[in-house]
Amino acid sequence: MSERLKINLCGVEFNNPVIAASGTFGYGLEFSRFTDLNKIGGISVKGISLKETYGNKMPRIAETASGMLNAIGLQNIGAEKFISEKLPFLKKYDTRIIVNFWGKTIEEYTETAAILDKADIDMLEMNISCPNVKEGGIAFSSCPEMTEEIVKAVRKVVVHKPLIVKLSPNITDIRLFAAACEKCGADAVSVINTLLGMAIDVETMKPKIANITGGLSGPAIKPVAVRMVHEVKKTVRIPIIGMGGIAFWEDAAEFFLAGASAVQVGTANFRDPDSCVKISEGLDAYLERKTINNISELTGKAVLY
Amino acid sequence: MNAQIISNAPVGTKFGYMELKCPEIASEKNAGRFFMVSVRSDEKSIDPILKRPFAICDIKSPDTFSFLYMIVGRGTSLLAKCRQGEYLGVTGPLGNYFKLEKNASVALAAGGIGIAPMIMTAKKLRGQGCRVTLFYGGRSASDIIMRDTLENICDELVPVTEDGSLGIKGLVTAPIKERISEFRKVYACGPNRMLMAVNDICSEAGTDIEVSLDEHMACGVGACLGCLVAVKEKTGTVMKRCCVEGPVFNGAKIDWPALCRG
Repeated sequence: MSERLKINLCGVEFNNPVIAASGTFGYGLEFSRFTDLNKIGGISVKGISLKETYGNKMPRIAETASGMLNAIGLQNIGAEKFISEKLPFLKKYDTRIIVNFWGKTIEEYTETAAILDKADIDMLEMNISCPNVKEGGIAFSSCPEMTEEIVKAVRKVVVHKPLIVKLSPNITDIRLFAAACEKCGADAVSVINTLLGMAIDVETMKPKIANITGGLSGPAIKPVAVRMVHEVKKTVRIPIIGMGGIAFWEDAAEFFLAGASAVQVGTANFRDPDSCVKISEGLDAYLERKTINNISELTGKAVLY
Repeated sequence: MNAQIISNAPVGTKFGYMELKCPEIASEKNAGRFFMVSVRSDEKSIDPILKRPFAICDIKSPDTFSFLYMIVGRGTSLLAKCRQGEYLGVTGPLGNYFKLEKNASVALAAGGIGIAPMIMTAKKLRGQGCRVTLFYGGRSASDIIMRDTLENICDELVPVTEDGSLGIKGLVTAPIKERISEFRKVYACGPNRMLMAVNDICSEAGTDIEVSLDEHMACGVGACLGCLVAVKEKTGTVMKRCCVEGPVFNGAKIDWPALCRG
C-alpha cells in the first residue's frame, strides 16, 4: 500500500486511513471471503458489551432512499467471548483493530473498557450514541454534562489504548459534545453515528422495523455528516474520524477536506464488500493527481469562501 | 465482484430469468444456496443502496448460472430493465444448502417464486437416484412458470392453483397432505405461511422437512444481523442468521408463529 495513505492516529500506525465501521463489518471474519482484510486500514468491530446481548425484535432493517434504517439493538457476544473467540482470527491480518463498546450504566462501560484495555487490540471506540437501545448509552449523548461524566469515568480505566468517542448527530449542537470529549481526555472523536429515523409500509400500515424508529445510514446522510465534521474540526484539536454515507473515494475525500484524519465506511460494505479497498485505491490516485504527499495533508483543507 | 449478464428475459408478466457469467458462483455444487446482486449496472448507483438476495436457480456451464426473480418492487423492476452485456455486482455463493437424500422418493414443495431454488435441487436429487415429485402452487396458471423445464427435471409435476386455472384447484398443501406417506423427505420454499402449513403436515406424518426461507437482508454474509430467524434448540429459542446458518433450516426447528407474525 502506498506511503501516501499511511497515517498515525493517536499513536497508532495505519496502513491506510479507511476503517470499516462498527455494526457493518461484524467481527471482520464475515467479510474475509469477499475482500482482503489486509488492505483495510482498520476494522471497528460490532459494538461489544460486558455480557452477551441478543438485540431487538425482527424486522430490524429497512431500505430507504439512498440509505437504510436499522434497529439491530447492539446484539453481540460479549467482551470475554469476543477476546477468546473472535480476536485471534482478526490478529492474523495486517489491519488495526478498533473495538467499539457500549454499556447500560457507567459501571458497565468502565468494566467493559477495562477488559478491552488489556486485550491485544489497537484502539477503543466508545459508543454513546446508539439510537436503538434506550439503555445503550444514548443517555450519555443527551447533554454535554453526561458526556463529560462518562468520558471521565472511562478515561480512568483506559490507560493503555487510545480512546475514541463516537458521537450522536441527534442533538442540537455537536460542538458541545466534541468539546466535552476533548476536555475529559478522549483521544479522538468519531463523527457521526446514525440519524434517528422512521419509515412506514403504507400497505400494511406498520412501521418497517419492529423498534418503530431506527438509525438512518448510507449516502442519504452524508451532507449532514460532512457538516458535523466541519463543525467539530473548528472546535477541537483532537483528531476526527469522519463517517456517514461514504460509498466512494470522492465521499471519503470530502470528509478529509472537512476536517477528518481518518474515515469509516459502513453501509457501503453491504452494497460492495470491497468498498473499503476501492476507496483506499481511489484516494491514493487522487493524492497522486493532486501531488499531495500524504493524506494527512488533506485534513481540513477545504477552501472556504 | 462483477458478473456479466448473458441474458435477462421476462417469464410471463410477473417474473424474470437472468443468466450471469460468474465462475465463482457457477462452480457451486450444492443446491439451495443463494447470492446477492445489485439491481443496477451503474457502478456508482447508490439507490437502491442494497443488493438483493436470490436463490441460485440453475448452473448453466462452468462459468454461468441463472436465477429467477419475481417483479414485486422497485429493486426487481430495475433488475428487469438490465440488459445483456451489462455488469452487475454480485456476492456469493452464500448460505447453507439442502441436505439431499439418495435413492429415495422425495417431494419438493414450491409456492410462487419459491420455485427458484427447486430447479437445481431437483436435478441434483435425480442425479442421486431420487424420485422427485414437485408440488407447485400459485394463485393462477400465470404463476406457474417454466413448466416445460420442470417437467423435464422432475418425475412428476403437480401444479396447484387457487383459482383452478391449472392443475388441482386449491392450496398446494392439500395434495401434499394426501400423499405425504409416499415421501422420505420434503424440501420446501415459498411464503412463510405455506411453509408453516407444509411443516405441520410433515410433523404430523413424521416426515423430515427442510425449508428455504426468504428474509430481507442487507449484507448476506452474516455481519449486519438484520435477517434473524427464531430457531428452537434444546437450550431454548436461538436467533439464527438466515444468510449464514440458513437459508435452509430444519422445518421442525423453526418457531413458526414468530416467523409468520412479522
